[in-house]
Amino acid sequence: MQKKLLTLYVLLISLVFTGSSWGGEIADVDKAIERGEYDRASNLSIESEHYLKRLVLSAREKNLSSSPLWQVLIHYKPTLFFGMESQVDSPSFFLSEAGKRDPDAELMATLASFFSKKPVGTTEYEPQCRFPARYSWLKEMLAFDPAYLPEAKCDKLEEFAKAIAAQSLTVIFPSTHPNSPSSMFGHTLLRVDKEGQTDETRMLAFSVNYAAMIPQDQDMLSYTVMGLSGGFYGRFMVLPYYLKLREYGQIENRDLWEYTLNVPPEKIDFVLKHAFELAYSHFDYYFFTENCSYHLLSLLDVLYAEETLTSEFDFGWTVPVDTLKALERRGLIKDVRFYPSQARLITGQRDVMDEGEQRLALQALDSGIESTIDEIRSRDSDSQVRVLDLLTEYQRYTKVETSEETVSSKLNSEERKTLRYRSKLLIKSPKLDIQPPGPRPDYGHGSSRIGVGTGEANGVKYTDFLWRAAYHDLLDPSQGFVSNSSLSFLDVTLRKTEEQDKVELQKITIIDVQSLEPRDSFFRNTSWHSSVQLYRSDLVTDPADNWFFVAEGGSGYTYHLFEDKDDAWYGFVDAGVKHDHSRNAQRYSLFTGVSSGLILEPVNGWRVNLNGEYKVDIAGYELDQREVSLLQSVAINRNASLRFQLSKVYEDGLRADKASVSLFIYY
Amino acid sequence: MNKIKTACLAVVLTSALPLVSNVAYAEENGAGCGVGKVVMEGKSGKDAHVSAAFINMAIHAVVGPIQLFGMTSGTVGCDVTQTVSNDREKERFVASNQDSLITEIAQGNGAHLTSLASLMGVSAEDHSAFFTALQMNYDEIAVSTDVLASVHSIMQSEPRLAGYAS
Repeated sequence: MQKKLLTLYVLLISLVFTGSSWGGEIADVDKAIERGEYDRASNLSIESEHYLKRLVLSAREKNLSSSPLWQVLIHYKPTLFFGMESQVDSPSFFLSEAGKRDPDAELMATLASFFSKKPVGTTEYEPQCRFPARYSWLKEMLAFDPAYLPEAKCDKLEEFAKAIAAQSLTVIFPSTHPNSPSSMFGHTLLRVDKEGQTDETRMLAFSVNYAAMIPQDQDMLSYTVMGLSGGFYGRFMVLPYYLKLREYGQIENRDLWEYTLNVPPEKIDFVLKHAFELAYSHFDYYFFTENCSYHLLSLLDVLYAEETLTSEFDFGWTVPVDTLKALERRGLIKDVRFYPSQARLITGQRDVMDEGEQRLALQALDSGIESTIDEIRSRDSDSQVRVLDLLTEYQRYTKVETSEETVSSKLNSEERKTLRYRSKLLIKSPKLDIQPPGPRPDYGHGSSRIGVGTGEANGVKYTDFLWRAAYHDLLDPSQGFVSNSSLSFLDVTLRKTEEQDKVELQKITIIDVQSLEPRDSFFRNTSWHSSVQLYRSDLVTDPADNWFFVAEGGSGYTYHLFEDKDDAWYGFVDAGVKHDHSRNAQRYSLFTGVSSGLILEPVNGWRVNLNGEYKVDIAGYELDQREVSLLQSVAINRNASLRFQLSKVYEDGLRADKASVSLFIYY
Repeated sequence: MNKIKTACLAVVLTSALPLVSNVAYAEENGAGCGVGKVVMEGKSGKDAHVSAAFINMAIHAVVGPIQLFGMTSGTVGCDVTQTVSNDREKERFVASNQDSLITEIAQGNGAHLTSLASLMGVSAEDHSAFFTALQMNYDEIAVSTDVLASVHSIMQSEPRLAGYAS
């Protein structure tokens, strides 16, 4: 011991004397240690303290605090005015009080903390166990000597790693679903695949999910009060994947796309250690930027510190599917698989059944299994299997759709009776092979759009400059997107007419959503649409001062015209409010109306939409609006399309024929 | 009139933006101690999902579109890394997938059933025997209050499977 101490002293003294700047840093080290959370007076021996100083000096020498990996471990990002700030918002994530903004202070405090056994924050874990990724990296960089810095035994972490048994990483993309407003842009989560896992047992793997924490059982008032006083936290959670499957596949009816990453098994451990660090901390959840998909990348960044995955998304919004594209560009995607939602499974089951079987299943659903079983039993046993299995799926789907107790794991009596009959057949259900509805979502067009167009309205020729922030409308190239569902957000049209020299704002669509979900004998879907727009009339000769603000919505039904096609025939009953703001008038109208139309894709890439609308006032100024339009688009490639529009408009006594053609580029 | 214009704009901002921002990205089921808790207690589901989305929209309308505010970290009072030992995992798996398991037992096939076989350590060549044994004893399992115990006893009475149930 004495010898070691002596060596240490000699080393320290030699360090002090080798360079004057280092002499100054020893004092810094003392300050840094004091800034740290560790309690100097407690039980840090002189020996440890000297070793710590040596580590700090070595870390300084190697400039570790500005190394890319340290930046991603603490989630530092450059701020607007130079400097750094961590995106993590839990104070307990930082061991130095200055840690959120000072990478160096945080590194010093982290090193100091590793000598302490004191649990960090509200967790029961000592610093080495609370921050295992930091520990393992610093240990490697500075070659910790266990004689001076003994390694802690982290039981929870070991249990965590053992339960997870990581073999590979898979990013899961539950595809967008029109009738679930929360999933319009999609979501991503990570699954840590186990060794020896198959398609069927993959549900036993653990998932790492980043989500906003929004309690469901709060009343509105406290919800609002809390909403005003706190901040929704975004957190990482580690959950069995079967719980996520239940949520996405059965409750929300979202197809799943699973992107297995090209990450070698030995590197996964480090990602998990960092996930463990993050699971006990939170970020403030920003829905457009720092959302689920962003922070999934920020977790994976510990593998790609030199060129982070998040760097592409630091400015601007993060659309989940764009993060998949980023992974693909980096060559990180090894394998992509598709797993159908329950609704798609039902459709797949019906595809192999004849009409009689399908009718029997519906009949048993409507009038009960007991009154139908004799008829079912008159069929051969394979046919009985198909009918009873479809009935079981119908029962479950209906339960989820209608009941409050949707996901209790209890079966109701009808289900039990059906299953009892089913078990007596002693036949194993055949496995269904369900094909994905189209190409991978990341093969779809870019989520932003820019374009240029030319046209004529009311005899006036014009040129349009078009830009849309996000995401997909019914005439955009359909590959990779959920069919017949559209979401336009911030769609801007600037126009230059022939008669004027300047470019002026013509139209802003703040939001426009259409969800066209076809109905059939079993699926009783309702379709809906809603939009908020501000536009200039192009019917009057002097449109300069004539603005309309329209907010409207409608609900109705959609049917397929042909089976196996993604066409749709829809009809809506609409209502809304229109505000007319012109030089001569400031007036409102509440209106109601109907709209109906057809959407077809006769050949791949050629989409046609025929649409008719009629609106009439119910209160406010007199309004009479009729419009018939034919829109067509031709996809030139994945990220370019041409659009042709013809319409006949009659609006408050003015009528016009309009025609335009536009070219869109998606990015 | 300017007031009306402002009101208009306010309506736009408070109604439209939340619709996209919150509703689009918030995985609002991720409440409290996680989806697991919510799902197992049967509080979720499509209606809850949609109504939660609407509540969130309302909150957004009050708070503003950029950032939502919510609960304190104290509310998340449980273990966020829900990993457990294999034995407990078996129990948890059966408890949270009871309906799917019973369904697949009746059908003699399925991913949940295969996963249960894997958790029980049943090797791939015995899966078919395992599924058949369970399907034949469906009535017993379906009425059992402890599905796992019932599966165990069926395995024990089947020579080929008894070794896995010890």
